[in-house]
Amino acid sequence: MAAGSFRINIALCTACLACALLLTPAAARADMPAEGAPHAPPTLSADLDDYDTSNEDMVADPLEGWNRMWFAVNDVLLLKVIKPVHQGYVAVTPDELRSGVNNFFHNLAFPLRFLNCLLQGKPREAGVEMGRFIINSTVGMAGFIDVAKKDKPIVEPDKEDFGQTLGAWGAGEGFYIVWPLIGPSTLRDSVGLAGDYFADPIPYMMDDEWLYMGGRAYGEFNKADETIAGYEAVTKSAVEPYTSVRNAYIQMRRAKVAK
Amino acid sequence: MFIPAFRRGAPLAAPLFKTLSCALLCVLLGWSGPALAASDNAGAARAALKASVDRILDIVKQPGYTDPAQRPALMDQVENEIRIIFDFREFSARTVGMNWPSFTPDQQDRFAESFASLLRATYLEKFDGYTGQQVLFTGELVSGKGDKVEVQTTVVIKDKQVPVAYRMLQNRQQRWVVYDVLIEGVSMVKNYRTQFQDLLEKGTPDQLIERVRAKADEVRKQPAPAGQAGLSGN
Repeated sequence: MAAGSFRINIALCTACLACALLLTPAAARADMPAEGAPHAPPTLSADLDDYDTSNEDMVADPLEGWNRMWFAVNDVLLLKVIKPVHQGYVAVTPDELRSGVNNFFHNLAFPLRFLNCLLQGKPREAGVEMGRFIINSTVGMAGFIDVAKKDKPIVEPDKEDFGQTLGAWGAGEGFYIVWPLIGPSTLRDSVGLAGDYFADPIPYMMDDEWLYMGGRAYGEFNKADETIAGYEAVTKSAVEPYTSVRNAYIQMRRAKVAK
Repeated sequence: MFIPAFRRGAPLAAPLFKTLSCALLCVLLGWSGPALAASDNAGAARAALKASVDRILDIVKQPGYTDPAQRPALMDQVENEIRIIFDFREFSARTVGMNWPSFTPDQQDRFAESFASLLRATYLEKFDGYTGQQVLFTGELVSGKGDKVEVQTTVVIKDKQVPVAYRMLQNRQQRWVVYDVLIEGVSMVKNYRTQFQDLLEKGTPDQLIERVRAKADEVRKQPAPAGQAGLSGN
């Protein structure tokens, strides 16, 4: 009798432990914006009125002439060339195909995001990226369907790139530079782009690297409406568009590095 | 093995646990005074913002909003709500920074008005109506002195989640008002500030006011962005 109840107690303890482990993904659910639940006590933070004292939105711009020229060129390219072509493309392409292509290329970029999560010391985000990649590649038909999107415990982490990794390691921005077509960047983020370009494993596995680059260019074109919408949101209401884009880009990158 | 012991000890333990937890609660409450004050402020700020957001959403959800005949009256209602929760003078003063005291009171008024006009033309007049947007309140940050609160929200538009934060302070009537909006980490005040600094270095306040007003008129004439539908997933 005593032996029997001992075994039952061990079984109960193991069951409790198993439940506790299974319930830890629930903690990840806290990352989804949760409403209505009693709010945690607010974080006491630093100055929320640092507009006069902080110049964190300032960045060195020694190449301003070059930057302004390419900014103007990109503006024409984006709004006068790419935008009308893209609108025609959207008119003839079903939405499902466009989101499928989007999901496919997003999934394909997994190795870089995973690597950068690890390099920044974010193992949990790396695990989430891995989980999403596996689910989307298998059930999601090689990534065309974003099955993992609905899965609450594995909410998508921020997209990490090598520029953010360098920032997390303490690299300053350097200076601001505008590249043709690619758009605003900084010295650090440009090094980041180059690093990601060389670290991407897929071109090494394919015979025809140009096919891959062409594919990626198509992927970017496919989601050009988001790029254009974001660009227009910043420039259309700006009194000084060049300054506005530069400032918005720097603020956004700094917020991303901080996260 | 332990269960019988628990069963025997439970009636004795319960009152002890109760007194212990009461005592602990009292101690915690006593010590959390400053945190409580901060959470009071945070709660008040969030409540004020939420009330405004709910009222605005109620107005734009009305079917009459998509009707061009009824839209102007409803837009005026929304603008009134916005003027209650936004403090355009605080907004404008921070975009100009150190130069604000050098503006005459008349220039300050005109600048705040033209800036409000620009924001209205950019955001309010382009908004075509409610298409299922949701605003979720996700948390608050309180400044070191406890007088300013950043209320963090997530705006959900068709599968996209955009983090939007509102920085708020108490005005002279002790009402909580917004003095900055941060979209995806980009502070609107800081963004306009860098633009205006250039202009103020090269010109006078009146010229700046004229530029802002001209921009507001230009934005008003632009057609609304075609197609609000974005791609789902990213």
